[in-house]
Amino acid sequence: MASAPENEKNASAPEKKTLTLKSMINNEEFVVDEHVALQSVTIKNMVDSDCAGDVIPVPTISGEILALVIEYCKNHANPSASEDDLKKADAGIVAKDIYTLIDLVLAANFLDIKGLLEVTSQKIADSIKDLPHQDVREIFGVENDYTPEEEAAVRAEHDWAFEGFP
Amino acid sequence: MEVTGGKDLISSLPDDILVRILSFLPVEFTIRTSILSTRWRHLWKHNLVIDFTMSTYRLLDSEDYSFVSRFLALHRAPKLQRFAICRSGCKGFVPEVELWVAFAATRDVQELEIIFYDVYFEVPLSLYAAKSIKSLYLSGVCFSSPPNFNGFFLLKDLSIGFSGIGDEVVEAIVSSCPILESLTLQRCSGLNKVKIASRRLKRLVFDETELGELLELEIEAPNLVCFKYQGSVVTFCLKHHCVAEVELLYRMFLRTDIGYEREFQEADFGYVKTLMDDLSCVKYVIFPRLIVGVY
Repeated sequence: MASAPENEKNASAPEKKTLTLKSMINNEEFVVDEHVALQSVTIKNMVDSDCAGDVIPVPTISGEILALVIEYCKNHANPSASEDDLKKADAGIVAKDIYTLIDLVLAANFLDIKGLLEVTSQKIADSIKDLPHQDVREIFGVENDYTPEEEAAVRAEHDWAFEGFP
Repeated sequence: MEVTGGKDLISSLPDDILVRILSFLPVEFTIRTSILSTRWRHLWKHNLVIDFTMSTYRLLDSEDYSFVSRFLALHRAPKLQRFAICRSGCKGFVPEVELWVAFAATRDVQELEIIFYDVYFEVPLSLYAAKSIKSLYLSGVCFSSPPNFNGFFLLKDLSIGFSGIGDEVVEAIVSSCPILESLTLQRCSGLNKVKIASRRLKRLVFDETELGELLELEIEAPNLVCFKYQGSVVTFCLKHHCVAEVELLYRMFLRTDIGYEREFQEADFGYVKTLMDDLSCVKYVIFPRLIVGVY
């Protein structure tokens, strides 16, 4: 461990290309290695089509969420990480409250990062699967616009799925 | 910019993300979301995953399968990522299997899993029309004759368990899956002298339990990296000696010349070792509670 910084100094490797991602929500900036950022298909398309300037603005994603996304991309850009390591790291990233997860899934969708979209969707599913309807409505900001009669009719259509369910 | 992060974002989750979240939930839960609001009424019908194996619901113990057919009749996604159903405690043949497999095949299913534990169902012919299939897991199947089909060109992962399948059927299927990477045969009956020839195969798991039925296992798979065998002692023939990871778990019983089983004895280790001489790359053999190094 002690010799690691020295090795870095001595290394004559070509300078790594970096990109700066900037959250347009709170103007927080993140400098990341290009190969890390390119795990986002959205960013890759921007870079490939020469649409990316020195600073890539990321709309609708806060610095807090962007930091999680970058952590995910760093982990998955590391060629020496084993499948087990990645699983553990992913579990750590999605060990968040439901509202953070919803922001994260939107970020993964916007930046087009398939793996992050999958693990976050799975985690959201796990978090809501034992909740009553009222809580699920609250989480997804859903307003019940059925009349009681309509709701009863929808229930009756699939009575088997509601068996034993209040 | 309208959306500002935090709780304001949540009502803006697009349908395709909601449908993706639903794909990780048991079928009955996804249907129940239809009463959340009118927007949610039909969302579940667009799920790319139909997985009844996640269901904790007691209907999977009932004899009535009409709910599956009703579900499929309402489903609207033009393509399916996965169709899976699992049943145990079945009292007889379930004719609906034919319809389920045909449904999945016409929707270009990529992962198909049909698991019955205590009844054999005849492999529906529509299975062979599922050209998009990448992963196939069948249990409780009966293959009566070698399939006459062009092949599963995209199939990478094949697992067949608790099934009746003959030597020639295994050979026919394996030879018509050009990119097959993983093959698992678990507790299948009807296998005596099996030849597995596959160029791309990386992983082969053979779990044989019908004592003494299997006599010979010939493997011709130049890219095999992992071979696991569990069962009675049989003759192996590995055409390519470059397998990195071999695990052999022999049962404590050996077939003797006159055809009955006796308990495994210390002297048998020597016999096993002679068999192993053919497997120059074997790292270890696992006997129950014993590990014997092979050099």
